[in-house]
Amino acid sequence: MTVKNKLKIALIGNPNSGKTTLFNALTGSNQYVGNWPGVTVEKKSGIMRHNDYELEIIDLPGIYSLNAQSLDEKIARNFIVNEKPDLILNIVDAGNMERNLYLTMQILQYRRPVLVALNMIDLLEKMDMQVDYDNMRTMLNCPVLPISATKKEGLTELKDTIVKVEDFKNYISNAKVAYDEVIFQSIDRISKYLQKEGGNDINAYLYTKQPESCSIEDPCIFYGSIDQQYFLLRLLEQDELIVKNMNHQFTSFVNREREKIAKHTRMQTELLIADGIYGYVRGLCKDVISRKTTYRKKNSDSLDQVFLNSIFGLPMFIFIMYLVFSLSMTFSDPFIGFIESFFGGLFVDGTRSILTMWNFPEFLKIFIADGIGGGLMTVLSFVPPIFFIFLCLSILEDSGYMARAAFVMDRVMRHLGLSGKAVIPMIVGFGCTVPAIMATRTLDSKRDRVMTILLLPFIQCGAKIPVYTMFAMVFFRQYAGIAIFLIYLLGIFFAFISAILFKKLLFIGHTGEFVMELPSYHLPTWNGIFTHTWFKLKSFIFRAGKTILIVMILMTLVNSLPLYHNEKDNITETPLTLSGKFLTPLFKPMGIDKDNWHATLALFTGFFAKEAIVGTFEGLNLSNTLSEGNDSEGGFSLAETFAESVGELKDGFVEAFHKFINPLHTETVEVEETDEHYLKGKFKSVHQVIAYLLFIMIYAPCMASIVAARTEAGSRLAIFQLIYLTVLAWIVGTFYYQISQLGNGVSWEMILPIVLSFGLIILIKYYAKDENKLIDRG
Amino acid sequence: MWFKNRARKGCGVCPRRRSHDNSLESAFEEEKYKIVSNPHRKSFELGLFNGNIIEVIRNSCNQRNIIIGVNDSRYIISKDIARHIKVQLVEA
Repeated sequence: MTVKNKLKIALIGNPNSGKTTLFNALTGSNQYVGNWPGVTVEKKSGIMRHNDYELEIIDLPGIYSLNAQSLDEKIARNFIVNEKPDLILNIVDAGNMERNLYLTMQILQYRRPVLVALNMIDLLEKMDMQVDYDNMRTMLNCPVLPISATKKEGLTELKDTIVKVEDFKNYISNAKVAYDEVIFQSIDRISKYLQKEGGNDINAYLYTKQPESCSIEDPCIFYGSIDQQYFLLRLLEQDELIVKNMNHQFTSFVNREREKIAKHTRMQTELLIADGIYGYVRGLCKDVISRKTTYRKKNSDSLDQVFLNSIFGLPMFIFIMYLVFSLSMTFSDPFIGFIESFFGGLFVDGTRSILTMWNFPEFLKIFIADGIGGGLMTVLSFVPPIFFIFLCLSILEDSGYMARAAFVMDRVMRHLGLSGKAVIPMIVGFGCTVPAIMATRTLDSKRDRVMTILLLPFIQCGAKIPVYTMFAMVFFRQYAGIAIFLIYLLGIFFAFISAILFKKLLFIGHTGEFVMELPSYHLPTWNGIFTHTWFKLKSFIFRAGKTILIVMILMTLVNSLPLYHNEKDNITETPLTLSGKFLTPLFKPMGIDKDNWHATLALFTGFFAKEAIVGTFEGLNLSNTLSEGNDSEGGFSLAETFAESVGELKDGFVEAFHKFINPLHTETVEVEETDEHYLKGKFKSVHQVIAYLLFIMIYAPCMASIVAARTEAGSRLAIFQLIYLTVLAWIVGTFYYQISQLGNGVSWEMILPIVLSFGLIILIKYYAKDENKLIDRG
Repeated sequence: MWFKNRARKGCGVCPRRRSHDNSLESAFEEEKYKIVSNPHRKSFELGLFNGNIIEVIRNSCNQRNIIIGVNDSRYIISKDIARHIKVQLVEA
């Protein structure tokens, strides 16, 4: 095999041009593909194998230009500048050539080998369009290959051409854009000035920081590192990678040139340059495209009349989100029952029965059957609600509705000091906060990005569903779906309150400008939806499931380690009981009783991963059950258990259907599970549960989210987020509980949340004095 | 559809008159315009360059953004930006 894995191929193109689909087709990967701008917000790499060749393909974020206004554009541009890929594979949407070729022309000016893949050629016939490929190759002066990534047409030819990368490694396109004459005159003057002042070492004259100090973390473009004319063009455009660290005298000279251009043409220099590129592209399109009719996306436009309607758009968005949660909760219920009944029987009772038959010692039975078996059953029982949530989100993403949500919600978001675009990361946040934080990269302004990162933890992620499901099923079983939906709404409400607080005190300034492409509506395919759902579900099962399982086993084991016998309470103290009891007084004002240290401990483990809260309760409950000697060792029959479970599943579906048709429908609540007795024993009143859930809803996000926030916006923001959310959660939980207890008289503890609220405002004011105190990155 | 031209017919939302400032913000739905000048770089790069023809798909007074069609693409543009884009009516 000829291994050429040292060669790098950068895949670049406009958002929604089919880049990730092509990446998957070339590398055989299963990267996530979506119908909204910003699916790829970080570069991903894969290996392409073809005819004994191996090459590394890097999928860059979808961008419209190389001017690097948003973070994803910067990632793509910096990669091309720093990594200098051996080949740039530019994917161009054949149905939208004019805009796509604007980026192509910018790429060609970097003077790197470029191969253009003209994608979606299968749509050309529908659009009554014909393309003269030969003419296009001549005008772009680089190879152009027609393909359809979705239908896998032309991919073999594309792969054949890619593996010949070394043949055209040194072949650079000489396509020249005819800019306005004043631009050339200006470039000429700057060039002469540089030669005169810079002499033999122009970089030494130009910069305070020299080329050797450039790195991937701190990229820069120096004189001589790219084509000279393009360097001067970018200089006139004030490209930050060029002008940073530039000497003041030269900067003044360039600024004078820019003023001259603006005075002469009444246009900003960067717009005049863009106009030049579009002039070239329009000429090219006129020459190579023949089109008889004007294609209009009539279906998409008609649907937009409904979904983007100024009156119905917002209620429809709220209704769609309600449907997502109602469907998820209602139809996952029968599956949860089936899993608990069948897999509970199989993993716990069945395993215990076999182990008893083989005379295993009791501690091994506890570890294997109750610890591992019970843990597996717990993880599986949370798969149905997560699956349905992800399924619904995948349908929204694939259909193209996500981008519409940004339009519909823009008005609301503006009141909060954000642009409608910030809604997309927030919807992604319903699945998981970590990719949502990554998705903020598509926001153009740093202010919007940081504020969105701060607000994302208020959007209740999928990992919290098991927690809410567990409490809702025990305390609000008849209205579990509505209760969980209300928690989600409350989360959004507190996001609003915090956003207004941040807007007034912390991020005083102008909301980022809102320009966004609306992709066409697509009818989601079953294959696409289930691939995306599986992609996300797999991540949950392996990440969250592993955490729940490990925490459950650890809790079971640590809680069975006796330290000493407490004569007063007549219980055996373990490391867990002691640490839980030590922290519990902090939560007393919000209704956590002294003996409910399990709840305190669950909050602590929830800091590592939210799903661990469930694992903690389950693990501690199991230890209690076992210490009470409550281990039934009756016979186990797989066939009987299965038949019973299927019966429950059937009944569950009938019940779920009635519940879906009538959300207020009530059912007979069976009190059967040990979990139910256990939780009801720990939380004496519903107010305690609500205060506790309010705390969980708001307090510090999981460790992974904090790390993601730190990576995107720096340590200071991550620390601020951690303190702000935890204190706010305590204030809200305590305030609610104290209000609910007013009937029993006013407690001095009522003062605490009020005092802390002032403290929180002082903290925000402290950070508001200087933006840099809060943001050290992003 | 019955709600299609609601803004123009003035059914309680926002009846408007043709403005003299020629900005995209005051352009009417379903009309085609030629871009006369656009100082906003990002929208310029998306295809709203001088001389290009665009179609206003949605422009309602109670929304802060407008939707325009450039060739086969549709874009959401905030009115803050649209205010600075000058257009000329080519087809009503």
